[in-house]
Order: sequence, then structure tokens, then C-alpha cells
Amino acid sequence: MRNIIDSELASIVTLLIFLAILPTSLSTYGVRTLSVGLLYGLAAVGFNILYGYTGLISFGHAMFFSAGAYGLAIGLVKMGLDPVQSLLMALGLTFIVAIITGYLSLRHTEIYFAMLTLAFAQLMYSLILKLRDVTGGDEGIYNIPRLLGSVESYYYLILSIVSIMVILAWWLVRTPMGLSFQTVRDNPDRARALGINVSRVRLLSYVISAYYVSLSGILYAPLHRAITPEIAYWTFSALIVMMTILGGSRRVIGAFIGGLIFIYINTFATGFTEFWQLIMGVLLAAIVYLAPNGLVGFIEGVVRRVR
Amino acid sequence: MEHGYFIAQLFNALYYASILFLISSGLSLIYGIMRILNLAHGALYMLGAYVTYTVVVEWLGINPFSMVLAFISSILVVGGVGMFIERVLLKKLYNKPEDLQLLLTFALIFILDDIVKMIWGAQYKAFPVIPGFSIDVMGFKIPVYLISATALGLLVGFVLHWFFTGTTYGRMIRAAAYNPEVASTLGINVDRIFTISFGLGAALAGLAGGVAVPLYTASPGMGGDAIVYSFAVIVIGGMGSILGAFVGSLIIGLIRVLMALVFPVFEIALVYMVMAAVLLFRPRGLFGREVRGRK
Amino acid sequence: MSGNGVSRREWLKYAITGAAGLAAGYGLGYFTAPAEEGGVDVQEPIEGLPGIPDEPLKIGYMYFMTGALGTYGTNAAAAIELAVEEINNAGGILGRRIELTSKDEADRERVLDNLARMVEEEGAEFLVGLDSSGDALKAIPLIEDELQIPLIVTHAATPKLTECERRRYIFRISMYEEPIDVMAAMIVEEFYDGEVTRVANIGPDYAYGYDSWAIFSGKLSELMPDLEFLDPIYTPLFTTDYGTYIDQIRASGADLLFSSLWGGDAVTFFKQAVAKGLFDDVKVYMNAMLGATDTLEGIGDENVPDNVDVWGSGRYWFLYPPHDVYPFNAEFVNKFMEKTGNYPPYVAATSYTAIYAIKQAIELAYLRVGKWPDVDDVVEALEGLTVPGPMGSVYIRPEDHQGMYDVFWGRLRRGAPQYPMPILDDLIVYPASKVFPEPLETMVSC
Repeated sequence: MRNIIDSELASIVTLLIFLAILPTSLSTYGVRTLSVGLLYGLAAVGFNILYGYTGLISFGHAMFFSAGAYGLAIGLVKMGLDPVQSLLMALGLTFIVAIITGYLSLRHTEIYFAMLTLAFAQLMYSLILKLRDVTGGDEGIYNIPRLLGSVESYYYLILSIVSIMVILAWWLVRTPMGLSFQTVRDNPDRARALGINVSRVRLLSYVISAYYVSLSGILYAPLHRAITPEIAYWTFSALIVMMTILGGSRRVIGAFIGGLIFIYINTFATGFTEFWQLIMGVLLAAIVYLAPNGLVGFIEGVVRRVR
Repeated sequence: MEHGYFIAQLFNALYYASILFLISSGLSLIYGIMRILNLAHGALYMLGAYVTYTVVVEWLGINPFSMVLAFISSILVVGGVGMFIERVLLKKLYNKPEDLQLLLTFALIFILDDIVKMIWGAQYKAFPVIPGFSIDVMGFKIPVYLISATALGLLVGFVLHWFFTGTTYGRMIRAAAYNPEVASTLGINVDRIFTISFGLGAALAGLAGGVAVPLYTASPGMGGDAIVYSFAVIVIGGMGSILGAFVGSLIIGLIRVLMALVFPVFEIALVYMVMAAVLLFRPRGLFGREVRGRK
Repeated sequence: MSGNGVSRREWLKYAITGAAGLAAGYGLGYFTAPAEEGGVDVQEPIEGLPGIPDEPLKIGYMYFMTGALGTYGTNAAAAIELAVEEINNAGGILGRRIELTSKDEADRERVLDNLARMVEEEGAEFLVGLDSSGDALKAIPLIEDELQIPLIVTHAATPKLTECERRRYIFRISMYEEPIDVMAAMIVEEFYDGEVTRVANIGPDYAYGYDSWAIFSGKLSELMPDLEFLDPIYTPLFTTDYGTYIDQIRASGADLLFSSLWGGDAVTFFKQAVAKGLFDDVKVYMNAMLGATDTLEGIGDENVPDNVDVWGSGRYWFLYPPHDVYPFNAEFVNKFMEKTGNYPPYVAATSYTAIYAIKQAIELAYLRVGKWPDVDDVVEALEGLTVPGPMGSVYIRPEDHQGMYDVFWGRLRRGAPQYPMPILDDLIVYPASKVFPEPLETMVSC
């Protein structure tokens, strides 16, 4: 057990060091892309707390990403608040969305839960579109100020925050709370027998997961300095799901890697075909059949067999 | 509100509700029998729309005969695709965790969307105006097509109800759904029943697409909205219940039409609010049975 | 193995490794090399002009190349390639040939990244493009603060792009919504004073729909204050069933209907309206985007109603200026038809003009500074430039970087037998100065 713990942390730290050095050999565009990769990785790690570790699949996580991004953007641009106030607004908005949708959705079985998260996320999307005086409607919000001027320095800000959050996730899933998530995932009845309040544990996991994804959105808004409602649309939720599964939902580092490399797979695929949705779908299906534990799970399996 | 206008609006709502009913009943059926939430159901609806479009607009021309033939084609093609999906793709996942099935149907949305794009192109496909056939009701023209489509929805509802309650085969299916192990010991071919059920659910979605496309334009991605509204129908009406799908579709159809007239800004929000209310106060929906699965 | 030389097995190993290495290297290089698109014929550059770089001038463009809106991009690309071919065949810009690169605007999450990529990784010195107004607005901080090279917009039509704040690097060649909608109001006053009483609106439920109505109704209520303006109807994009809305409009007793629906929506709505007999009651229908060839094809001659005045406009109409009066347009239309088999839509005309605007601005700036001009020189040259285009001469107003040319509204007529689709005919044309607002002024809220 100890070996696995250490080795995953070691892998995470190594990866983070690598990510810290990488920008020196990239163009500005390359750093932009990598920044997005980091944020996707953060979102995937957050989503995975709910999916991989608590066993609930949500198709609506885009609503948290957009709660974070829009919360911050509305504060900074529309209301003229300072960065701290805007941040608090974003976090507050996330909490409201998470609690309401979580409470309504989690009282049901996983199938209903999946359906409801998708439906609620679409509601959020519709609201963002309709309340155009607040959100800019379809035109979105632009001219969001970036705290640190250049793309490169902003990258390091993102990397610092993401590093903390990923290591935090690594630690979290090994705490008693994290272990209770996994017990609920594996056998809710047994969890109840052990005295675990299953509903509360699920809600907790849901909210933590929401905050991770929301933070990703908060950092995303100043990166591009503009946001539009697409980040709330269900296809973005889909991408988050796919990244996590691609990388591997059994491990924190799996989800992180999935998010990180997804942007490159996307760029590569869209570069040579317009039917990249087909590729994504087939890739996801292939993973479901052949490597349900994703890339990292697959590698681990190979390593184990070789040993 | 004048009577004529009211009736015209009513038929708009009924038409929309019929289509929604066809989609939702298929979704509900698949879930009720197989415990699978088919996220790709909207994509199957889309496929049905394209098939009917092709048969009528590109091949045969618009006339009642070609429309009927087109509907049959949609039913057969999409039903066939459904059976293929179940046999080749889903069956392998039955003994595996449920979320893998969900993920697969999710992946199918993207696959089907792009396959449609590859075959038909990404352009929107719109029917030419259905020539001349309108009934004049107190000054408002109601296309006969709306009335026939609504009637078709009703007819299908009755047929489904009769099939599952009145026929031997229908009862066999329900037995297999209720307890697959016992059913198979009784000699019922559960595997085949599952395949046929999924095919039937898919066929309903395909028919819905066919019925919808003469007035609604076909496009890749048209399944997205459809699936979300069918979710709302199922939440309100109850999972696994044909009657629930019927009532739920009516409610949503009326809400959407009324809202579009009275308070367009919150048309969509009201649907969700009704859904949230049902979730809070009667989680299994109006006619749903206790939803089984891991809790 | 043995003492003398390398065994066959080892040779095989080396050979396979070598081949694998070559394949890997080739594959890596192939897949990581930036995409180059837009193959064009080139001649040798003119030798001898001082201060001109040798390497080609890279121009990047971005439009919707795939998906439901994909024809915008493919048509714009065709027009841009046409312009670039002509320029390169005549020796390039001051001897420098143009190379193109492009990205697909349909890649919604990566729009800004892709713009940056064309500049930061592929070396584009000019950008042309953008179908979506939302994307154009999003791009403002990127272009103005970070990339700082000229972006010439040829489609996105929101007034907010150019009229809310003076931009430095962003220009727009294409007509934007305001002059067209202002002229619509003027047309109503000129032709229907005393004949219409109630005005309804149906438009798409996003900024373009709201802004169009704000402008049209604002101007019209100024000109004809006694008109009754009904609550505007906005429909979701790609709505497929306009039945309820049509009934609503009929019940409201409107006799003038203004619409900013476009593309497939305009077609669907129009056909359903005809089928439901809307035009028995509505006497005048005005749609700002009816002049798009794909929309007209979608409507088809058989759906052109006889019982109502249907007015259409657009940012370019391939039959205006008339071919016998303005051969430039005739030649453009013919060349475009030869290349693509379609009549040129407005994006083609505006993109074509944009490339020539770049060329002209560079040449003008060169005359002033005596060497290949830097970005600021070109920006200065673009301001106040007059470029000939298929739509007529386009004047780039220095105060707001907005292109100005004549605005038209025409009547919907059957196109047979000359044209396979309905056309706009009996055009009323107003000069730009009559309908363009003052620079940095707009009826839309910024």
C-alpha cells in the first residue's frame, strides 16, 4: 500500500516539475495551449473525485466551470469589483449552484442523477444566455483583465495553483473522508451499515468536485480574457467526462494526465479531420471496452504484468 | 383569445407533444425493460428524421404514400440500428458496472452525430412546404399534417399500451424485464427480448424523427434538445411508464406553447422549475414505479 | 555473433531500427508541422525593390469551415484564394508573394488560441476573418493588447466591434447591421407612409436579433412616430417550428413584419409563414438577410408569394452594381462561379476586398516610408483608404476603421428562367453617407 501511495505522489511531483520546465522550449502559443491543458487537468481531477472516487457520473459539470468563470468575469467587468471580491462572488455562486443541484439530484439513483445533472446544466446554460444584461448573453463577457500581464507569467500562476490542488486531491482521497467516498462508491449498503451517512458523503464529494471545476473556470476567464456561453453547454461537460476516463479514473494522476493531454488530442484530431467527434466517440467507446481504467490504468496493468 | 387562435395553438402544442411522446416512450421503454438510460436516444431521433427526409424529399417526392413509406423506413432503419447497438455494443457490458453502459451510450451520441454528418453533410435539411393541405379553423390555417401527426401519436400510444398489456409477447417482455433470471428459466429468450426491446425503443425515436422532420428542420445535433426535454418528460411522468410519457409530454407541450406566448423569456426555465418541483415532492414522477437500481 | 562482420540477424535489426526511426521521425515531423493550407500558384518575386523581405507574406484567416455554417468559410476561402492567386501571379505585394494559413472557427473552444497560433507559431502578419460577432468581440483583447497585428473583419456585423471604442488594429470591410436597418426604416417611410400601422418583429434570440430590432424600431419610431410597435418576438437559433409565432403575429394584427432571421431559420420561417397564410394579413415583410444566395435557394421560386411586398437586403448582392455598368463586379462574379460553381455570397466579396485592402495599404505605406512597412505604418495607411471591391468602392473610415459602401434593399422576385433561385430586384440604393451613423455612434448599447 505504501508503495502505491509514494509512487503516485512521486509521479505527480515529477510531472509538475516537468511542467514547470517545459515552457522554456515552447512558443507563446505553446504556453497558451499548455495553460489550457493544466486547467482541463484540474477540472478532470475535480470531476474524478465525484466519479472515480465516489462512483457518481455527472454530465453537468460544465455548470460549475461556468459558475466560476462567469462569477469572476461578472465581478471584474460588469460590476467593477476588485479581484478578491470577484473571486468570492465566483466561489459563492458555485456554492449555490452545487448545493441546489446536488440536493435535488443526489436523492436519486445513479441513472436519474446522471440525467438530472445534464438537465440542470442545460438550465444553467439557458439562464446564462437569457440574462444578457448580466452575462452578456451570447456575446459573453470580454476584456476580462489578467492579473499578471504576460501569458508566461500567468502560466506559472496557474501551475502553482493547480499543483497545490492536485496534491491536495492526492491527499484528500487517502483521508478518512476520502476513504468514505470510496466505500460509498463500492457498496453503499455496507457504508450505511458502517454508520456512514451516504447522502451527506455524496453531497460533500459533489461540492468538493464542484469547487475544483469552478476554480478551473475562475483561472480560465483571465487566460483568454473573454468567455462565452459555450463553456456551459453540455458538450463541455462531455469533454470533462472524456478526459477523465481517457486518463484513468482510478488515480488522481490519471485524471490529471487525461485533462493535460486532451487538448493535444483535440488539436491533433481537428487538424486533420472535421469528424473529430467521431474520433472522440470511438476513443471513448474503445476505452470503455478495452481499458476502462484509462491510460494510467492501462499502463499500471502492463507494469504489473511485467513485474 | 379568439377561439380560432386558441385551437391553432392547441394543435401546435399537440404536435410537439406527440413527437416528444414518441421519443420519451422509447426512452422510458428501454429503461423500463433493460435498466439502461439511452443517452443516444436523441441521436436516434435525428437519424429517423434524416431517413424520412431522404425518402420523401430526395427520392420519392411529397405525397401521402411516400410519407407513410418514409415513416416505415425510419422505423425499420433506426430500429435496426438500435438492435445492432444492443447486440454488438451493449450486450458485452451487461455484467460490468452500470456507468460503462452510460458512457457507451454517451459515446454513441458523438459517433452518430458525425456519421450523420458524413452521410448527409452538415447542412440543415428542410422540407419544402407541404402543398396546400390546410384546414381553415375560424380564420386560422391548421396544416392537416399537424392533425394527422397528433393522431398518429395517439395511435402509437394505444398500440403500445395494448401490446404490453394485451398480447402474450408483450407480457413476456414485461416478465423478462421484471425478473430476467426467472424468465429465462421459464424458457423465455431474454437475450433476444432485450435486443428487440432496444430496437423497439429506437424505432419509436426514429418514428418521432420522421414525424418531426416535415415541419422541423433536420440537422446534426438536433438530438441534443430532444434528449433534454425527454428527460424532463420522464422525470415528470415517471420512468418506465408509457402513460407517464404521454401525460408528461402533454404537460411539457402545453407549457412550452403557453410560455412562448405569454412569457417567452422563461419558457425553458419553467419546464425546469416544474421538473424540480416534481423531483422535490414526488421523485418518482406522476406515474413512475419505484425506480430500481443501486441507491 | 561470429568474429567476422555483422550477422544477417543483426543487419536485420539495424535495418528495422533504422526504418522505424525514419518512420518515427517522419511521422513526428509530419504531425507536428504547422498546417499549411491554401495552395496557390506563384511566380518568382520581383527582384530589386529595396527593403523588402524575401520570405513570403503570411496571411491567416478564420471562418466556419465545417459544420452547418461551413459554407461561409468555404466561400470566403475560395474568394481569398482567388485574390491571392491574382496578386501572386502579378508579382505579389511589392514582390513578396502571399502565403495563406487558416483555422476553423467551428472549433469553438479554441477560437482565440487558434488566432494566436496563426500569428505566434505560423508567422501570420495579417489576419482576416470571423463570422461570429461573439468571436470578434472576444478577440479584441487578444488582438489589441497581445498580438497587435491588423485583423480585418469581413463578416461579423455587430456595431459594438467598431463603434463602441476606437480600436487600433481591428478593421472591418463588411457592412455592419446598423446602416442596413436604418435604411429599412427609411424605406418604410418612403413607400408605406399611411399604409401600415402596426409593426411586428421576429428575430433570432441573440444579440444580432436584439440589436437589429433596436436599430430598426429606433429609427422608424423617429421617422413615423404614429406607428404602433408590438413586442418583439425572438426565437431560438435553429428553431424548427415557427407555428406558434406565426399564429401570434397574425393574432396581433400586424401589417408590417421586420425580421432579422437569417440562413436556414429565414428559410424555415418564410416557408411556414407562406403555408400558414401569414401573408394574407401582413402586407410588408422586410428581412435584412434575404439577399443571401443560400437563403434564396432555400426559399425557391415556388414559395415567392404574390400577395405581399417582400423586401430583402444584404451586405453584398451579386447583381449590384449592375454588371454592364461596373465590370469589376461582373468579372468577380464570373471568376468566382468558375472557381466554385456558386454565385458569390457576401462573405466572398468582402474577403476578396480585404486581401486587396491589405495589398493597397502596404503599397501606400511603402511609398511613405521607403521600406517594407511595419504594423503601425500599415494601420495608418488603412485608415482613410479607398479600395475597389465587387460591391463598389469601399472607404475605410479612419475614425472607426469601418468600411463604407452603398446600401441596398430590393424586392423578392422569382428568378426563372435566368436564375435557379429567387432574386432581389428593383433595388433601391442609398449612398453610405445617407445611412451610416456618425463614427463611434450607435443605437445599440455598448
